[in-house]
Amino acid sequence: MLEQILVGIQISLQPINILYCFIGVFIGTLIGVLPGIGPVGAMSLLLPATFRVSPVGAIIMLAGIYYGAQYGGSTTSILVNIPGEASSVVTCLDGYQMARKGRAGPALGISAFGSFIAGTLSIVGLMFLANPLANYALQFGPPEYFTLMCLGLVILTFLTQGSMYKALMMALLGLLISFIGLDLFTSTTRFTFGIDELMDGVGIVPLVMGLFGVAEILRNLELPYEATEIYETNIKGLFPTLKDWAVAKWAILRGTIIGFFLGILPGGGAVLSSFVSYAIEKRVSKYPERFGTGVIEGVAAPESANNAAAQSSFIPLLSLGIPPNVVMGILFGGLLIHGIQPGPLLIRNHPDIFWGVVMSMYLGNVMLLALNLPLIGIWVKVLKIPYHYLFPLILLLCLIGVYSVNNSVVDIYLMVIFGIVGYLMQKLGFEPALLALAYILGPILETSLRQSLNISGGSFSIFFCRPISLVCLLLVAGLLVFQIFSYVKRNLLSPIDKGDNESQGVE
Amino acid sequence: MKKYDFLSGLFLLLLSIGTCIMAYRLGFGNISTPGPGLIAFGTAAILGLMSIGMVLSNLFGMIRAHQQKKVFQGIRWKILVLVLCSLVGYGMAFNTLGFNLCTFLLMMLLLRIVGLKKWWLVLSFSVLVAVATYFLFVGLGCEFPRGFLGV
Repeated sequence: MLEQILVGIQISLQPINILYCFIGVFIGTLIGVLPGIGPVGAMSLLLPATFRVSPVGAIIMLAGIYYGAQYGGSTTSILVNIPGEASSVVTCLDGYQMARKGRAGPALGISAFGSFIAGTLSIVGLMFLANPLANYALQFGPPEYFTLMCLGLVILTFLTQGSMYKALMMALLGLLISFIGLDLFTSTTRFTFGIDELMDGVGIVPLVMGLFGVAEILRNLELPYEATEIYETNIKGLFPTLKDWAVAKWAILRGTIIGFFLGILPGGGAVLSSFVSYAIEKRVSKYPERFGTGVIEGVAAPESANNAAAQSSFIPLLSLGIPPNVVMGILFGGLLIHGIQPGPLLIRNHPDIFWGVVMSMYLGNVMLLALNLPLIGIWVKVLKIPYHYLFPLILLLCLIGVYSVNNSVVDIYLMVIFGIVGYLMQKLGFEPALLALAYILGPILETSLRQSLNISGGSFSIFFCRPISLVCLLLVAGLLVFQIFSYVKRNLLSPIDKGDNESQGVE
Repeated sequence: MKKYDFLSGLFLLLLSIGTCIMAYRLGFGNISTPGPGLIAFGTAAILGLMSIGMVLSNLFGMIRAHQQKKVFQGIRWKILVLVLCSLVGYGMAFNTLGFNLCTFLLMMLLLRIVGLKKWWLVLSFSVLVAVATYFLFVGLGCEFPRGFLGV
């Protein structure tokens, strides 16, 4: 392992890879600072640009965007009370209050340092866990992959903030979209309506850019623009005091552990980790009533958790070949584009990619510390750019990104269609993330199912005879039953329609 | 929200039915060697059943409930439609007019849509963006059409 680490260090310290890492974390921080486009949209934009880059460089850059965005998101949460990223929503609660008390500097400082510590520890965990997990996963066959994918989708629907029923429907819709194109088993074209460009299916780039990029812009444009008021505080004293460290150190450690394990779970990730970490920190605190008034633990815990989760979510992708969330799904697509098959053999067949990316994460975290503390003034200025200049640029980047994949305008039309779909989904309470993840997992899911039935001669008992597969199926059944039970209990105990309580006016 | 959930359910139900029909035509094969339509049919069928559930539950809810959440209240539909039409127009004109001219026109249009009135600002921003993005992305190896003007 030491030898592999040294190889990884050598690869990550190549000047070109240092440059890609810097570009990734810089763009990630910028994306994190700017509300309106998240790491999913940014990674989709840059995915086509990585075609001409080496696979290692491409993944280093894309990975940098993801964990960089976690750092950047806290800046707007603390200074403006607007989360730059979903994973920084919780940071608003105490971070902004700290800024109002004149303690924006320590809030930003503890956020950056906590993220750095959590990220570093998480990378260590990644190093030691990924390889053994990959070796274990070599025992996985098609039945295990199929049931694991199902479990991942069900967990994600279970954890969704909205209706699980709607989330399940979106997962099924995502699977249907993934079936468009050429069937690999029989070479039959499916649901292409005679459009040649759909023979390869709907591209991941137009789908994700539409659902998350264009849709988000439409959401921001639907109401009149209001200039953002930045809390004008003198940002000084970015280094937390010894007292701050004494208070925050356990919050950082707890956040790291929570984020690390939740990041590995399918459906987990930075967003869930930050919420759970904040809730637990409040629960264990001697003074829970102070949370929300500007306590430093309220910033340290979620920011550590989201960064730890951002790193650990690479584990299922790199060791099992299963993306646990949409962001990893884009990286999954990136690897495929470069001819790299993600899976348990990735570490064995492409150790340069695995160790190069892992080692670059250390470097990336150091860069982010430098970007987010001394350069905080620059990010504050970026926040002041009016949105009516930003959104045309973002749309243009979406258009260029989509076009450059296949040099086809059909992808532009697809992006617009998915943009409309994504916008309507957000307005009507449907989860676009579920649709995107199901779309990404769809081909693997279908292939695994068909191979399993092939192996078993058409018998579904193959899923129950293998222990890992059986455990996954039992968990799926358990989650679904629990949700049905909760729904029935809620509706039996409260016969008044809950929808009436949420309405705001008569139509 | 009940009305919109009802309509969403109806749309998904129709989509499921259409998909089931197309999947049936593709062929199911047999259970040990599933054909191209089997898994798609099964997925669409489950979605269809869930859609029926959504339609029915919201139909009864619509009959009972008198108050509904105004999801689309105050939306600036004109701006959204114009932005979407701009994007489609960009795609349609892209190969004919070329990247630079299309980008310039798109920037101008989008800035005017949101109400930016200073022409000199709109013009200069649009030119700057078109030129900068051209050199940036050509530098990254992207290939763009030049259009009939050769620009």
